[in-house]
Amino acid sequence: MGNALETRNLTKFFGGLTAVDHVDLDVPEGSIISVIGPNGAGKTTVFNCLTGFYEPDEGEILFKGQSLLGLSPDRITSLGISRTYQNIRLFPSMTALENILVGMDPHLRSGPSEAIFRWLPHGPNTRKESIIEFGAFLPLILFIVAFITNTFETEYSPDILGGNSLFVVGAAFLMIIGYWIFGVINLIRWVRVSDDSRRIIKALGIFIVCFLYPPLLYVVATRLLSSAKGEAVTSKDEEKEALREAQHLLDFVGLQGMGDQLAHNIPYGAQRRLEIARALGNKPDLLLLDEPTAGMNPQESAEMMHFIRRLRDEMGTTILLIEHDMRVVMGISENITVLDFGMKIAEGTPKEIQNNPRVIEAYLGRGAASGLGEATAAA
Amino acid sequence: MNDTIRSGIRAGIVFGVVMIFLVLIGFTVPGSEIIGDLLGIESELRAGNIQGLMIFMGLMGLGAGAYAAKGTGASVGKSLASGLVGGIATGLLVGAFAYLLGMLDAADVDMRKYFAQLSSQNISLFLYGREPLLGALINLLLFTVSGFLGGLLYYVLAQAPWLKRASAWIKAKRSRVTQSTFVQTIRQNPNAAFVTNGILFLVLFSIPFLFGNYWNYTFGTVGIYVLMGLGLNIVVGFAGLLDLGYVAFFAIGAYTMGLLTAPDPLGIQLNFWFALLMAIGMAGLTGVLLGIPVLRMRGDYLAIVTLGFGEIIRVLAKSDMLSSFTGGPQGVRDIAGPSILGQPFISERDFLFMIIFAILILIFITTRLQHSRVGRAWGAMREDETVAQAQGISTLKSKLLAFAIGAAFAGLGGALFAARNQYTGPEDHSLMVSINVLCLVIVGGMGSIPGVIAGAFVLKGLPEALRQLELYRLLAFGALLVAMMIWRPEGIWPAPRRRMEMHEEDEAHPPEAL
Amino acid sequence: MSAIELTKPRTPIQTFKIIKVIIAVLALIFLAWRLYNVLVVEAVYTPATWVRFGISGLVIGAVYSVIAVGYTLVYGILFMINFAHGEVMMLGAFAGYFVFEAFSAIVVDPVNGLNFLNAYPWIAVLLAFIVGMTFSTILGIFLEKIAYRPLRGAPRLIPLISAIGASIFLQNAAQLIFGPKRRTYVNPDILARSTGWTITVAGQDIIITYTGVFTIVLSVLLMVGLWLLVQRTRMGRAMRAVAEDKETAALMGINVDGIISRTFAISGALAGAAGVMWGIQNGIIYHYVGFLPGLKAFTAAVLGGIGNIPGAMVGGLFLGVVESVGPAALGIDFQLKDVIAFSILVLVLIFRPSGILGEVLSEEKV
Repeated sequence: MGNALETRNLTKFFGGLTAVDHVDLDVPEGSIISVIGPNGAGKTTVFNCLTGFYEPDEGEILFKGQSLLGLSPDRITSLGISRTYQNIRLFPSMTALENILVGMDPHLRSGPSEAIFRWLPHGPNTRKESIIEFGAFLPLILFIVAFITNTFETEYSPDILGGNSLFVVGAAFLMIIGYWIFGVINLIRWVRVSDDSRRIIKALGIFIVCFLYPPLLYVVATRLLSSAKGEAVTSKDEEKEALREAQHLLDFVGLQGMGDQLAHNIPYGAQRRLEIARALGNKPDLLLLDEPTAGMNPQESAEMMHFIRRLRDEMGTTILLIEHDMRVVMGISENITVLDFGMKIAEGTPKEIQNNPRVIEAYLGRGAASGLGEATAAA
Repeated sequence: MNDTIRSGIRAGIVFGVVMIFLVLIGFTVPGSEIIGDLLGIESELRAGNIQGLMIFMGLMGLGAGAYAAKGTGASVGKSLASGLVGGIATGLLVGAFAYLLGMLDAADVDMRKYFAQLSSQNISLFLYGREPLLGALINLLLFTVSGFLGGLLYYVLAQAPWLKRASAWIKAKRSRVTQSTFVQTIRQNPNAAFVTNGILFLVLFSIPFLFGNYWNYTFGTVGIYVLMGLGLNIVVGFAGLLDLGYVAFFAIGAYTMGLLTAPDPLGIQLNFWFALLMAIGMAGLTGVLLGIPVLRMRGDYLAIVTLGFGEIIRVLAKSDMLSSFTGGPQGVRDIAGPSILGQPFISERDFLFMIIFAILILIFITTRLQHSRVGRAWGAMREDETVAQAQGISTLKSKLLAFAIGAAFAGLGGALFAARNQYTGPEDHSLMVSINVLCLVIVGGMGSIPGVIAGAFVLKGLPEALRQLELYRLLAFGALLVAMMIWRPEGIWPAPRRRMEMHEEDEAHPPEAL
Repeated sequence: MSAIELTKPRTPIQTFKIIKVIIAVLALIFLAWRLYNVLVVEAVYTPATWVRFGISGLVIGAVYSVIAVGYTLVYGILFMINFAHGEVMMLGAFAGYFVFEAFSAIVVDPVNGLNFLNAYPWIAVLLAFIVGMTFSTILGIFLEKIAYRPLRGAPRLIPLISAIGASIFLQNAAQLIFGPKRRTYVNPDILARSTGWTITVAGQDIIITYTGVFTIVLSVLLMVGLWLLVQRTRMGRAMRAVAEDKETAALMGINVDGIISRTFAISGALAGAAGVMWGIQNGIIYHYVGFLPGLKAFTAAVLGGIGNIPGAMVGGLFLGVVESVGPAALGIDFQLKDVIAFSILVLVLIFRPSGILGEVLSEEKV
């Protein structure tokens, strides 16, 4: 089992301050790892580097072997990394379900045209098909170019095509006819494969409307065909499916029934769980939790511990945790990394960290190392 | 006693300055005329109405008294006293000012060189046609009495319990109606929506036939502003991008339509519908091209850059350097109108039809976008851009989409505008257009479609009705913007979520224990 | 432990950086070609004319600097663009105008036809500035109190719109009260426009105007004074603290509201001074005179790095010179000089949003 996440020599400066100083992290797949340290140790800065919010000044970040350096935050998220925030950052005037739906955004495919025409399935999955679809609009562009160079005779007319515009127009016509023929073919295939009760009428309707610009027939028919073959979905179906999944996530975090409540009306503890649900919407391989038990009482913290374990056990998510509550840290972590002033000062199992004098010194100051060794061991 | 006097003097100074300001901008004339017309009082003067002005001053005095009383609080005595003091203070200021003006006028000093509204006529109106001293004393008396009454009024309205009972009663009645089973069954019946929409459509499409050409033109202008408002609503209201140069896209739509259909300067003379499509396309394309470099910027910078771009387009259109291409300062004339099935479709009524149709289509598109993945992405981006990006939303693509769609809407508006007027030129594309559209979106309610329509009617239609106050239109605009931002930033007809967003600090929700 | 990958996939951000570089290079080549054309090939303008352009650019740039510093002060403290700043300048200009008019109406020596303005010109000028700046200061304070303070906690858009509203209100109030007619500043004779020292450049005579020198000197004095205020005084320290972190400053016992009021006061005073300078230098004032210079001054503030006072000064001068010399250098119409200013704004914001000398603002924290 390889490492889900690795950082090597991760360094971040802010002016004169070294917030993160050559930190190495190893997060094996499917593990629960904690990062702890006194306030200001640089833990959240590490998270911000991991999610692409900051660009590290030195070092490397590898996610499943792929470097994350220079990638934009949305790109990093779509690779399978989600995070929650120290001070909860939900979208306050959106409902709980909507927040989760936003979290699911990388897995949704509908764009603006699919939003307007809800019956239109979303676009192609492969690059080749995308190019072909784009090509359907090429004749339009060619027409415009020919038009500009031929009819639009002013001193500004570029002499690109001049008398050759006839060829351009001819080529455009050929493309139109070509697309139209293939469109008709795909339309017929759709009619045969689909089980829609009103498909004949719809097909006729589409055929007539697309006469305005025949290559459109190809685009629409191909998409309908892939939807009937199960390779694409309409926006209507996608939204329905997404809503179902969001509801499922809501139940998973224990907030069933709160779906239509506005996020800023939800009680604090529930907000934390909602944030996690939103992060889970991305179906992440790696989940970064920033102080998930902040502001919770012991019972709530214990519940959160169980919940985090469930996440890993049931969903196989790798979890990287920033925490201050030592009970939680020692309770669920398989491995702990300790930071102080941006540097890694210790790493190891909970038992090892509890007895590490440098760690105790970092938290409690010199001299406490001896006296409090027993106290932390008892926790 | 002290705070009574202080409050009164403060009210006096504030209202005194306001009154002096009103006199300096010459508002006494139309203000008094309007009051006179409302109450049916004939005026002996050519301009302004003496009795009307007295009533106007009285009303202002009421305000001064009420404002003074507000500063002191509960008791009757204090309210009346501070009202009185406020009235006297205001009266002294106004009276002194009137006296000053009267004396100067009597000495034949023409102040109009420096203060354009202080003609002898206006001054004499201010003095109610009397001698300076008498006129000043009348003012003092008016304000004193009405100030006192204002204090009384404040006490009666603000303190008396009956007001609270009345508003509670109204609220109860309203909820009784909306909660009643009758209304609920109608709301939930799917056919009901169909029927109400149907009625709405019938009403809408019969409007062009009901009124004359003048109103069709006016409604048409309001309609075009609604089109643009819907577009800017997407940019500002949904995506949260402050665009101050929206007129640029309007201009591109108008000029594309003009240049493609007019005989000169380019002589292309294309069909209206084709040119319309091209206009929308060009505007959208410009939106994308402009957006790519510009949308990475911080919000305030975006505002200024778009402002600059709008001005650049206008200056370029007006310039002599490009006039062989754009028609220069004279603009483009003889723009073609549409024709359906061979019949020309160019009367005001026909255009209004098209505009209403376009509005309905745009509302459809906007609503669909709002309740889709795209709309959610916009909402998330508006509320917290950093986190939205962290959730996997490409903020750049989202912003570009909003910008391009908004631009396309503006292009449509511009093309229709140009075709309707059969002319377009640089004066049609000034900064004021951008500001007008922005105002109507914000005053109407950001992110709210009925709000945009309400805003367009208020900001474009109302001035038509209040012709007398044309001079003060922009002044009122500016004041309205500031006032609305302070008291009701969510707009006249807000989107339901927005009211919550805007008043976040006011609502403190104690976290409930689980 | 896995090896560190040295090849990274090209990401959208990197692609954009490459595009930026390509565009920058192309633009520079184009500019160089145009400049060569105009300077060498066609050589329309003589060296003397270029110097004249340059000097007038410096003069207008000085005025822009003063206005720009006002913008930058307010932005640094409140993160908002004070849209009404140009109108504050305009009203200051009007106040100064009235002072000059009043003084020119007082006849000191009927025999020689000498009025107060020309008898004691420097007192008149001093008073014009004092009155203008006082008026603008008060206006600035009231503007903040009425239109901005109630909106302190609101999302950024709201105060911006309020500022736009205030700007429109002030413009139109001025138009209504003073009338739409353009007014001409009556300078005292020793500061008459278009008079000055004559120097010879490359065989041609050009005039360095008295008003121009006056404007530049005064601007420099104002800038230096402001710089000292912000850097050396207790109030200046408080201003910088509030700009960095309002809450902490409050916790340190600083009266944040008072400091903000004072910032607006100083900003207003500067605008007022700029207005009077504009009147003396350019002569014509009217209700709309503040709009374009205001916009350009904001461009200058951004150019220099918003929040950065020396930056605003540099930005203003730079913009003034480019605006003056630019149309001639590029061989395009003088009408388009505003286009040049805006284009600079767009280009700076694309290629170097933090400005020439860099921003002085606190970072957003996650």
